[in-house]
Amino acid sequence: MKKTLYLVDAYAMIFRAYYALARNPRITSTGKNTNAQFGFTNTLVELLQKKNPTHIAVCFDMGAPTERLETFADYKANRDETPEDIKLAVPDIHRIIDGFNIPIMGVPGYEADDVIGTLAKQAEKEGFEVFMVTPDKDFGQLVSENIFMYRPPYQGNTFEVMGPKEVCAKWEINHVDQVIDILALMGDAVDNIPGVKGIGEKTASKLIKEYGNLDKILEHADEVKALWERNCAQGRKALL
Amino acid sequence: MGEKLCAGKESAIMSRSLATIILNVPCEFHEESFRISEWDKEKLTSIFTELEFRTLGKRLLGATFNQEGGQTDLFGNAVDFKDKPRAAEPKEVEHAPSAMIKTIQDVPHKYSLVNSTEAISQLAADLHKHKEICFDTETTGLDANGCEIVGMSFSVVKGEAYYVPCPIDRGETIKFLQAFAPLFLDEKITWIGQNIKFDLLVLKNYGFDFAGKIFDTMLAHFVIEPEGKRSMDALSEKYLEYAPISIEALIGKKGKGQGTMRDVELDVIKEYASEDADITLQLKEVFLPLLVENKVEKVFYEVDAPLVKVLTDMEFEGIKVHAGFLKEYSDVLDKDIKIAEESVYAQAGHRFNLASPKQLGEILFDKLQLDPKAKKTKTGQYATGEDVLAKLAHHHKICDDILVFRELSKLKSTYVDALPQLINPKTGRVHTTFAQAIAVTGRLSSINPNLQNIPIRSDRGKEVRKAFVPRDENHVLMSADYSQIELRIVAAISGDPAMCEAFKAGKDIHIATAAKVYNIAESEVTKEMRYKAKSVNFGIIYGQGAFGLADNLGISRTEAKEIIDNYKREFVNITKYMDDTINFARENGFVQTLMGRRRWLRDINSGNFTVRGFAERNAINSPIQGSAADMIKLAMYKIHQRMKEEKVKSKMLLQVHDELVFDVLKGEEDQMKQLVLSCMEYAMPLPNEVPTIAEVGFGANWLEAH
Repeated sequence: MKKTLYLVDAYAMIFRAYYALARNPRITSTGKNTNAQFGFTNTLVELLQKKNPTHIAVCFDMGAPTERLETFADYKANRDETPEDIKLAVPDIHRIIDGFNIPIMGVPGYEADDVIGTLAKQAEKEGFEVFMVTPDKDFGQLVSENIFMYRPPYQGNTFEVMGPKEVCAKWEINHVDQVIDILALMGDAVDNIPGVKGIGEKTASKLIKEYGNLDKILEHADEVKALWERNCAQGRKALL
Repeated sequence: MGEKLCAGKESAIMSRSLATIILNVPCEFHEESFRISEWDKEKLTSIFTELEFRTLGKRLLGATFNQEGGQTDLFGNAVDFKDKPRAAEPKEVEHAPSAMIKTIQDVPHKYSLVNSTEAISQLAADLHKHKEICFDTETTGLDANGCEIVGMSFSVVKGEAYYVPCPIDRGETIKFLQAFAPLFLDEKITWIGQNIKFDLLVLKNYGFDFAGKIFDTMLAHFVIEPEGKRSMDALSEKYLEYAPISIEALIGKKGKGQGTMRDVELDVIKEYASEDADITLQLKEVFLPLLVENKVEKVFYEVDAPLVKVLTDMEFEGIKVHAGFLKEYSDVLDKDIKIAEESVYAQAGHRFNLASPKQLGEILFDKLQLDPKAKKTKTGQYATGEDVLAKLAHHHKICDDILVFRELSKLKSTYVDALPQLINPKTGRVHTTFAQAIAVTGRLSSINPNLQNIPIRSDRGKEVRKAFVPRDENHVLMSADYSQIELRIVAAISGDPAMCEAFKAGKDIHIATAAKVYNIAESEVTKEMRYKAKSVNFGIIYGQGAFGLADNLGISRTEAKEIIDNYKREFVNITKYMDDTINFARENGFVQTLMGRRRWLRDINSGNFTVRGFAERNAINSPIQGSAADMIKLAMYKIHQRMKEEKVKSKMLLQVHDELVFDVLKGEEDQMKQLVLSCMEYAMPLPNEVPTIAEVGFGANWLEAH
């Protein structure tokens, strides 16, 4: 049997669990909201029981400022302040993960994304099939023949496994590396990656298709502009 | 585009570095330490117990999971949380099978079949020794006014119950149940049931009325925990850790293939029905102390429980609906819908699917270019909601036509065509069901059909009320409603002198408000000022801020803010009431009505602005809306009593939040008017001597009476 490694993006799953139950919250007799703990445990158990992984780890962001924050002070600033209930839930969730005897990974100064990416690439070299358990779209850049995104079920949808084919189809690109350039252009409201003002998903994907990568697009900015103006004259629909 | 790129170049390059996942983090993948291994059951038990994951714990850890959920702290010491604010009971939303939940197989019980005439007489005599009897009916369906009784179960002692099967023939059943008539008519007996109104109504259709008191476990749970599930199965699992036999095990899953209780073998239905009565009795024992602990006995025993029999009678009566009128009106609407539709196509230049928002959006904004700044929804379509169209309707007839098309189509399908289908073939009337345990504020809900949301704002909508008519030419419809009840409650509980004074002096409250807000004499208040003041008055009730008010009135936020600031300055106590209520909620975790009905607001201390804001609006609104609901419920009970005492022939039919509708026998008009008005106005005296005013109208249909 092929060895399978599941790497869980802890905070993404915790937030999701918390908000999925927000309308019908679970409250203990002492008044503690346990949505996050409950939803996270359910997802984890489902993963363990249905997927039977041979290997697993749960990855957290650690408190220290990350390299990205030093690049751009607004990074992730868009996020509403983390709900109190979630902050209070994290120690419980640590204990739950510990109870399942699953290692908790996190490196100060790096995000869970980076830790997952690094571990995924290492495990791939050792012959593992790796599943990154997360709904976050930026993980698309990491998928390969042996590395997949595993998006857990949400709001009635079933889980979704995304390999290179699916990622490329989603963004209409040829290579998963281009996910980075797409995000650089369109930005990501969740992570507050600014992107380029006025460019959305469609345009980003169109430009990447036309020029291949961000550097080329920026090199040809004038040409893009000319094309843009001509198209404007013909009616803006063509490019948009 | 190119410009955007030039301007965004730096941003794009930075974004790229932000979006790139770093792959050389100093961490290492060790195959062995990541390998799946045995769970540490002790650790899991400890954390699951603490978090009260009862069902999940049992499912994962099996019998070893001892659940003392919530009553011990980390070190196993008992935790006393009684005096802490409690945000209701824990909710288990899991449906997994679990080892610890018991079933009929695990619990000793004595469920007996009572089948012969002698045995029934004996049972009736035995039951009559008790002051409290729990019972349940099994029927062929869920429409209490249309189904037949299959059998009845009784329980007076935990673990023991009796099932009495009823003959198929109606007359035989009536004879059969006659043995219980002395019990039913005994005023000293308290009848316990889960959603007991259904059972009372079924038996009323067989000619049996109940003289005793009512204890409904569903309603008890409603006042203890207004939110959440309360089917008997859910309550049983939660409070008794016992899973009753599922009805689907007896008659199959819901849907076309589902059988009826008539088809179930006697031995099986005996166990099922007896269990229901037994469990309901046990639930009552659990809820009694909870009613005390939560201090909701008053609202339960004085408001909700006594109303059950009133509503039973109202649901039994139903109301006459003039099907012929609706048929004609349906044709009229049909014509007008077609006219509006054709007009839309003519203006669009071609036909399209008007029901498709996508096609409509393209017509309005791509083809006709009505709004260069048209907004799109998340899915990339143009937004064509009512608010969007309403804004454009002033300048573009096509939008007006679309709005007309939509309004009339909805009216036609929801009411005009639907109502005649709901006429009960036996009685020729429409019988709604009043749900007492749905709306968390304590308001009644009307379902199957919902007669509480028949449109009254538009002329077309109002017409529907014409279809509701008196039962015959000897009767006339009477409608009685409270005037400004929620504002009176605001004035009374805030004790605001200006507002209380206005009500005491019998002034038009909105004019009085406008005069204060604009600092002018009441005689100088214009229609527009009154309208704005009215919006603020109602906005206050719903916890609306400057933004909502501005949007509502179509004025600038600055003006809205100025109006609100003036309002707060003039009506100082109202501001204080709002602050006090929110503070009360923060400290106690709940707010309450004048009768002590509680609403738990667990998000009131949330760190998230949006979530907290929602809880704060509920904190302000719930006591007001809930007190109004309590008041009319009390009034209904009094009216019901008085009508019996005075032996009138008129009938109470409907409740629509602050309005009551009656079939009044001609000749009883004055008597009924006085009776109803005095019961309504004195049902629940308000603090600070704010008067309560009700008004009455008569008519040949509901529209005319209102």
